[in-house]
Amino acid sequence: MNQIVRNSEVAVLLAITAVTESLFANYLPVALYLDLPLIFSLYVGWHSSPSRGALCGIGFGWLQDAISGIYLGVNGLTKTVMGFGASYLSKWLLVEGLLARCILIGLLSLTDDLLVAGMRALLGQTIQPEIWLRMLIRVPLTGVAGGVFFLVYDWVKFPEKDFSQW
Amino acid sequence: MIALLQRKPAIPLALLLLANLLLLTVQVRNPEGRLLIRSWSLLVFTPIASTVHFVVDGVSGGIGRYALLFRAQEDNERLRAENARLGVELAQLRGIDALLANRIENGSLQKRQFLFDTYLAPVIWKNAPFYAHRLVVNGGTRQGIQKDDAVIVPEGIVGRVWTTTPFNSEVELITNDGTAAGAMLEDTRLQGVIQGDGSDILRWNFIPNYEYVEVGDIVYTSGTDRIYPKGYPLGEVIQSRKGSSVYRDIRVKPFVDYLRLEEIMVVVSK
Repeated sequence: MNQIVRNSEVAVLLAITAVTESLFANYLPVALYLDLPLIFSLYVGWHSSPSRGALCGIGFGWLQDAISGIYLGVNGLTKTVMGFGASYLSKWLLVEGLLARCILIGLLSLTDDLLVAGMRALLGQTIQPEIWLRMLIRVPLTGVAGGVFFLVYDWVKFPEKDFSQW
Repeated sequence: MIALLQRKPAIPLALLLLANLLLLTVQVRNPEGRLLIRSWSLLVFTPIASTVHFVVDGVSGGIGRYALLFRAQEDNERLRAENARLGVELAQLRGIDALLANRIENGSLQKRQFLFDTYLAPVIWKNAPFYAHRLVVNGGTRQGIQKDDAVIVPEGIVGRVWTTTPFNSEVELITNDGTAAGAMLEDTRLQGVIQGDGSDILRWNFIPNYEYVEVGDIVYTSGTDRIYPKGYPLGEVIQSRKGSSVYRDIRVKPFVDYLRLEEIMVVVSK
């Protein structure tokens, strides 16, 4: 499979994740409702082979764990699954519309949140009752932001060609 | 090999999932291993956080210096008044200090209990409060900071040093899930254990149902944990009722606003 998202772009996305998550955590905590590492994992996975999607997913997940201060590997595991799954979904589903993409990314965000909560419960950490409210905000926000990110990045990478002159 | 992995993507997926599970197992089964892994990740990511902190503070500081210059005179007058008030307070404290010194000489107090050095460290990074109540400060083993050093601010207790690198330290806030400290009431000297559960409110455990604790009582550190200095304020009781077991259900609101911490003091030698 051709790599639509180059390795250098993945590196830039990782750096953006580190800087923005650090900025959000310190200066704008409310922005942490947006799951940026998940959006990037899904985008890279969507345009890559399943192996590469999983490998990039683990990178974004470990980065998120390191910044969040939780056990290293919790988000690593879920983002691996997400990156891998996104690659297969891109083969099985034809999702070009903005609304459909938003809904799909929102559903994947919900799955990711449930997996993270389940993993943390298995590791003996206290799950606060507000987690459901947090998911209620996080899922649609990540879905909409993800849909817009896919749209903008695709528009930058694949500009529309004018065939009328041919 | 790469072609095989491309043809059978389940193999790399299984390997990556196994790597994550092994990493989690090391951290869960071995607390020291967890600290080591955390130290490595701090070494990698704190330069990014430091750079972000430096840039943001530089920009906001520049704006603050030039755009708000017109408020300098007003600030000057306010600071003069505050200086005069602090002078009076200092005189009062000197009197108390003399009294304490007298009691120390008489042997009724342990001098070590009251004297400690602190290192003032700026906060450069806070973890997302959803996940963990921790923060990273500029200052590590090179500045004499060690694991389990107490972290305080004038308002009260912040937490303890969780892990260190030569340049930075990660501080676990008292509100983090699983954190605990010895606590007591000022007047009755009633002692229990303050515990964090990941929310903004602390639980005061192991206070029997027959004891009286009123809403509004102030809780201080008792020093029994051998981490936090004795007599530092922790918070105010906001709920106190009989529990279903033999212990009361007591909630304490901390005095420190952890979201707004910019600088903290690490107790580097007790």
